[in-house]
Amino acid sequence: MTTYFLYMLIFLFARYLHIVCATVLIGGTLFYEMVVPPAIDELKQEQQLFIFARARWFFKWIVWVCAATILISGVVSTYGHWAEYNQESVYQLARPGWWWAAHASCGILAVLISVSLTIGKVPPSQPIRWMRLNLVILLLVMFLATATRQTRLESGSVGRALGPAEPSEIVPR
Amino acid sequence: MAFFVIISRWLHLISACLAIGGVLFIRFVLPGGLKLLDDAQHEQVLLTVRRRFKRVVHAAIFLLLVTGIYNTCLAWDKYQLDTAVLHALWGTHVLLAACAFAISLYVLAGPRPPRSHRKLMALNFAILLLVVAAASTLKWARERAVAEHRATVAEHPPAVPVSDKQ
Repeated sequence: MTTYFLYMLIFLFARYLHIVCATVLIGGTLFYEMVVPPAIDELKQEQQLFIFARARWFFKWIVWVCAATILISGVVSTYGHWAEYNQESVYQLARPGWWWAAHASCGILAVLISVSLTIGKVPPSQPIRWMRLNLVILLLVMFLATATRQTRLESGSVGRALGPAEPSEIVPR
Repeated sequence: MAFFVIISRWLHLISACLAIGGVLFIRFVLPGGLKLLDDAQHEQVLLTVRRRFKRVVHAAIFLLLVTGIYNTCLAWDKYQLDTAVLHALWGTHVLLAACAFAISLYVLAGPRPPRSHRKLMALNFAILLLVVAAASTLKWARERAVAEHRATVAEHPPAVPVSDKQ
């Protein structure tokens, strides 16, 4: 019972951290890219660059912490749902494993872009374009996450409607 | 139907991202970026950012309310499986979200922010994190309640088939 409770606590905490870090990363990127530039438009070029550089320095730590937390909590959550992701489905589109694979691969790509934009003292050329691209990928990642969840829940209901659930499907191994 | 569920949840999450990420950025990241500007420019930039942020927050609150009501309607049957836990978590989530909305609307109302806007924004950020914690726990408890219900039904199937009842 204690081990089961500990497992549940870890998975619950991992999910919480995953969501919080994703919201901070996506919201911060959106704010950095869409709200700040028009607000400092009237300032001199040097001042604009200075504000961006300072904000980038502060945001760097947030991005790195969030990226590390997202990856670790993602691995923990995947471990918890692995049996469900491997369930066979009549329709390939309804198989949660495929959606998970798409979510994980796009998520890793978005995290890599975020980290690469904050590495080094000087930002890469055309940082705003990279941020826009990353924002689109992050929104896609979020869509894939919700689709993964939906297919996971639906495949679970179909599988369990046929008979009693295997303990390994509910209790993490 | 599944498509609308996914889109609704997606919009709910994006709106939460806008609110939480925006509050974090405007309270903790941007002031550091504006530190070396003179007072007049500092204030001007902050007010412009605030004006734009206000529009974003209003849109986010609207979307959160609409998608939140829709998601609740869809999951309401599941909330009856374990009313003590699920209703408590759902109520906590909604109440904390209402507090966060009220603080956001108060801080962003009018042409200038209130004096205590820094403290209120920090408080709002903490409340928003609690809102996510409540939502996350609610989702976990709901899935657990459904799984337990399915296991119980599979072990002890009802005497009368469901189709005959209807």
